[in-house]
Amino acid sequence: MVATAPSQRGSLLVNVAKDFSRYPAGRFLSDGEFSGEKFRHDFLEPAMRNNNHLHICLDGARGYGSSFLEEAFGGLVRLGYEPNDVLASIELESSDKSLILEIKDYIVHGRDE
Amino acid sequence: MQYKITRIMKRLSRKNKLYHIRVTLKRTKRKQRHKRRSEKLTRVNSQWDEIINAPSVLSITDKTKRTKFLRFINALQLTCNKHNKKILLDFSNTSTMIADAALLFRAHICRTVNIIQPSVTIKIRLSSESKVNEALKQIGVFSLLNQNPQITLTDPDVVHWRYAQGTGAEGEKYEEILGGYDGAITSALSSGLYLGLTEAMTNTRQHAYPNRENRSNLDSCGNNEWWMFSQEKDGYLYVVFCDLGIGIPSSLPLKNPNLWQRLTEKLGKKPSDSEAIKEAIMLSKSRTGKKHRGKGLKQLTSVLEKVEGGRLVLHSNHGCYTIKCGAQNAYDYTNKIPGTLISWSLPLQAKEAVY
Repeated sequence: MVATAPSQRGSLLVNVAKDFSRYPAGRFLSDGEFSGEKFRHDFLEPAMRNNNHLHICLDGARGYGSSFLEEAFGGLVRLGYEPNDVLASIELESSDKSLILEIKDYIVHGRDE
Repeated sequence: MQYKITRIMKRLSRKNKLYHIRVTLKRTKRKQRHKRRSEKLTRVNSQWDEIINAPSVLSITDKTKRTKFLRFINALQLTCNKHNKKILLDFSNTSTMIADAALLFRAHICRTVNIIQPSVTIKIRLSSESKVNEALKQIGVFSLLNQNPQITLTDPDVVHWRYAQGTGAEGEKYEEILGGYDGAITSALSSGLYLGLTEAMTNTRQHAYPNRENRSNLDSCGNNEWWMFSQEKDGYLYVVFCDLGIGIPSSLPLKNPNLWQRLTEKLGKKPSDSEAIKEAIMLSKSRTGKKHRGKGLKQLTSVLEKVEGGRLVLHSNHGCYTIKCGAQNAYDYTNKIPGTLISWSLPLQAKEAVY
């Protein structure tokens, strides 16, 4: 995990634009350097594995495509984590409230066929 | 008899005589000049094994102009199979380059240069229109062909052209063509464009160039490449993105056979290219049938929700899909462009849409 700083015990703060990239894009690692799979692998999975609470600040990035968001957050549920556990462990912050709703939707429906 | 002739022929005055001498001399000089010019042109042309004439207008929207442009592109593609040739792309009669066709030409030049034999040389004969030469310079065609004509960018339309190329989802390339518009466009519009462009890049990576190992040399050299371009003109921001892949109508049955079957059953025939594009854009389910995979192409239109008066045009193979103010239109051309070309036109000063 790069440049994450614990804001309190067991809690991690991630600013996507600063700690990951201002240009998140793509679904899989093969799509690009800052894909959803890469973000999940570097930030979300370790936090879930270690039962950490993760505060994610989404402001500052150029934008978020659905491929990126779905693979990062929906992909977490497909790895076996329960949607309720993911929702309880991740706190999202953004000036664009529709973005937060979209991510929550991906978490809830991550396993849907 | 002699008397009669003298009577018939008018005796010229000295002034008239001088006039006719001057005219004859001028005509002789003109003939010599034309002859010299023609010989020079023949001499210059003889330096080239092949001359490919560019059309007067580079466009893919008008049917006739599209046919001529694609004929030119096909001739360019054929150079990939040649050896020991000096080829001249003659732009002397080209007067107009429309942004979408200009980008497509740039993409083809880029691909051609990457795969032609080292023994093949391609150069450009300049247009008589300085704007065309400036545009060719601005989109990097001359540098690709190792040609360095002395052209200064002065035309305000051309000066604002920005150009980038890449492979896969390289979001940072957004800055190269649109970073300069921060402040001039709203953050919602900027974010919508970023979203549309990065999804187009991702689609190029995932769908446009499948099974490259089974394809011909020309088709397999795409290497997931895309090209994009921005232009500010008459208060509008134009953003164009293209790839040279198999196109959405060809990738749809491969990547989403269920949707393809449903569409075929619904229409009772094989969908036309424009029907396939429209369906792929309106698609709510993904290529795998999973809901979470379905939002890619739909996102191309999302930027239009951020601004009033925006327009999207998507060309892929024979098909064309347009959307403006919520009104969709889909139609087919007789000739096919290789790959997919997406263009957005967005008013720069328009009010932000409220939805």
